Amino acid sequence: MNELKRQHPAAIFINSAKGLFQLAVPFAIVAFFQNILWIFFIAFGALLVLSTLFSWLVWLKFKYRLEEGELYVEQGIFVKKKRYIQRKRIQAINISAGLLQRLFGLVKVNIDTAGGGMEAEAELVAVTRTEANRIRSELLKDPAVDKSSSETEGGEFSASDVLEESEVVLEAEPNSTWYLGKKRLIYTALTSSGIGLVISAVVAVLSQGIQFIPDSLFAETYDFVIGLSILLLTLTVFVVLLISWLISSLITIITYGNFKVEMYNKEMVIDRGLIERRQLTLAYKRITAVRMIRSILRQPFGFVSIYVESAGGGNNKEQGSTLLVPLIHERDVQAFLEQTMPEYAFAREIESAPKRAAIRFFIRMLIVPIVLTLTAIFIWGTIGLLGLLIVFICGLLAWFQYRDAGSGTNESFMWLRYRTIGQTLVISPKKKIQSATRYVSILQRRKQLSSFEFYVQSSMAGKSFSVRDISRHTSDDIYNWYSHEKTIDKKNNIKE
Amino acid sequence: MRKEPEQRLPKKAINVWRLQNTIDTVLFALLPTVYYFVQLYIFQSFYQWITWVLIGFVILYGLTKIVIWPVIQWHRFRYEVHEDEVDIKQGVIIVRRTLVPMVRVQHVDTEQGPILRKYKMAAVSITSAATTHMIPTLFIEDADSLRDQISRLASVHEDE
Repeated sequence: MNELKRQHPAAIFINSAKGLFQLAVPFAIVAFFQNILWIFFIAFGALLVLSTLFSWLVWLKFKYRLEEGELYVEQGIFVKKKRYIQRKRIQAINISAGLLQRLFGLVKVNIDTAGGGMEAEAELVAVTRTEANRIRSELLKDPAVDKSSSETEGGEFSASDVLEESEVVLEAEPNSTWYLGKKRLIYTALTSSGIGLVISAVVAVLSQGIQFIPDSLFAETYDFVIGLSILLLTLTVFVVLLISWLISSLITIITYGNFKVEMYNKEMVIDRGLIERRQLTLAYKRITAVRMIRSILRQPFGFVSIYVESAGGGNNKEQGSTLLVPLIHERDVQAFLEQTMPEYAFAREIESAPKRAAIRFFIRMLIVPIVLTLTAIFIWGTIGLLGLLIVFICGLLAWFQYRDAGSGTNESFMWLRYRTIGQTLVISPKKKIQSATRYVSILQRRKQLSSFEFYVQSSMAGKSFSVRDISRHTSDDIYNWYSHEKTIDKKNNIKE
Repeated sequence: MRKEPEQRLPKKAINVWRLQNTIDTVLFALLPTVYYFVQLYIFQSFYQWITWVLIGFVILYGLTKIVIWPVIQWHRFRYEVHEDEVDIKQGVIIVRRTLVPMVRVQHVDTEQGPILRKYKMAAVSITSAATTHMIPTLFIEDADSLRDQISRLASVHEDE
């Protein structure tokens, strides 16, 4: 039996530094502007001592142990918490190395379980790489090896010894590996749509920066600006956009650099990040849906990104999903699926929304812009005609939304395709779908149309996918396909 | 299309919903009342006629929600518990039909608020890993036996 272990002592430093940083930065900014920096330094010193002491206590009281594929964690300073995490409940293991961890050559391990919500069920802030790998292999990787040793009862005491020695075996070569590569990384960065967020940040920083410009200079430039007005305004907008674009690209490169996916028999390992390295281990059988996204910037170039939904293990920044492939060309998708998830690599025929549905897509997209444009023309006269540009864009989008709406099934999978702005194709196995609903509104009913929605489990409880205005007949077919009831009345079919 | 689910809720459900919607309407009626007094005593510049428009909305809302809505709702609501799945059809403006396979059912509850208690009724809620579905108004004995029946069927299907 293993002894209870503590984390690497560096955890004390990491925990206290992280806590201090969060506390100190806003405080330091306030102190700087109020000219009371000395108070800040005294407070900081006191906090440093306190938080180091606290972190040391936390570290001291945090102990864990691996036993026969089960993780036992004991923690708490005043109230002691003890927790067993069973292997079969573990959904994903996330190994990451932030800046602080990298200083010590250590990693952080998050262990996600089903129904754990947003927070990891167990978090080891600082352990060595080999220890992390050992935990991962015992809890996830190659259960077959471990099973054989626990099945031959009495072999359990040697199990840990075997594991210590057989590190090499468990760190076995992956069946195959997919790399994002430098070229694709750059394309990913240039077409990433995180621009909006960055724009607001850049504008915020620039507007803060104005405070530091001396008044005299400000007055001079003001006169200058008045002279240039439109030209300069356009230029400023352009520069802000350009800077935002570059920053957002840079962020993408940092988060997705070194992106690779390794495939093993029962799970895959997604590796990424230049500064903060993340490594997510995801069991295939936890995957509940695969989504292929063609964003509006990437579609013209034929690029697709692929996300997976899984029960547990999702990334909060990606709305609980996991990014499996940031960028891949359409023509390579099939080969990639074959390589990674062969059961998903089938031909997907799509029954599109019927012609009679088109008008509904246009009405939905156009009603607001048309009313707004008419109002604008009414108030401002001819200049309001500019609104027609927006009407045109929305009309174009409506056309694409109509063209993309569709669905399909085969014996064990269903897939829906729809577009909001980018196009999504979601594929889910029947046995992972939690519930399915067919919607028919009064207006849809007259045209024999219907919407369809299904739910799967994701790391944040549930996630739904839906397609609008497909033919009533198609959605009935999917509904029947999903039904577990074997006896479907043939007579009633004729009535339809 | 497969056959519609056959079970209906007891007629009394209409009364329950009427009572629930009446309470809704009374809450909604606070809006014109508050506006009236604000307009009268605090901001005299506010228009008085808006009060009447709001009252009109409340009356319209009350009439549809109390008189007509529950009847249509009752006519539309059908459910059926099969051996392998629960099939629910509901909705007034949008008719939704939902399938919940027994294999996916995690737990079944009966719930009872003050209004349902008054009528000796309860709601059955069926929870999967991602969703919750309601059969909203059943007599309490029926709700209990339905809950037991679903939970029995669901546990038979325990393994995937």
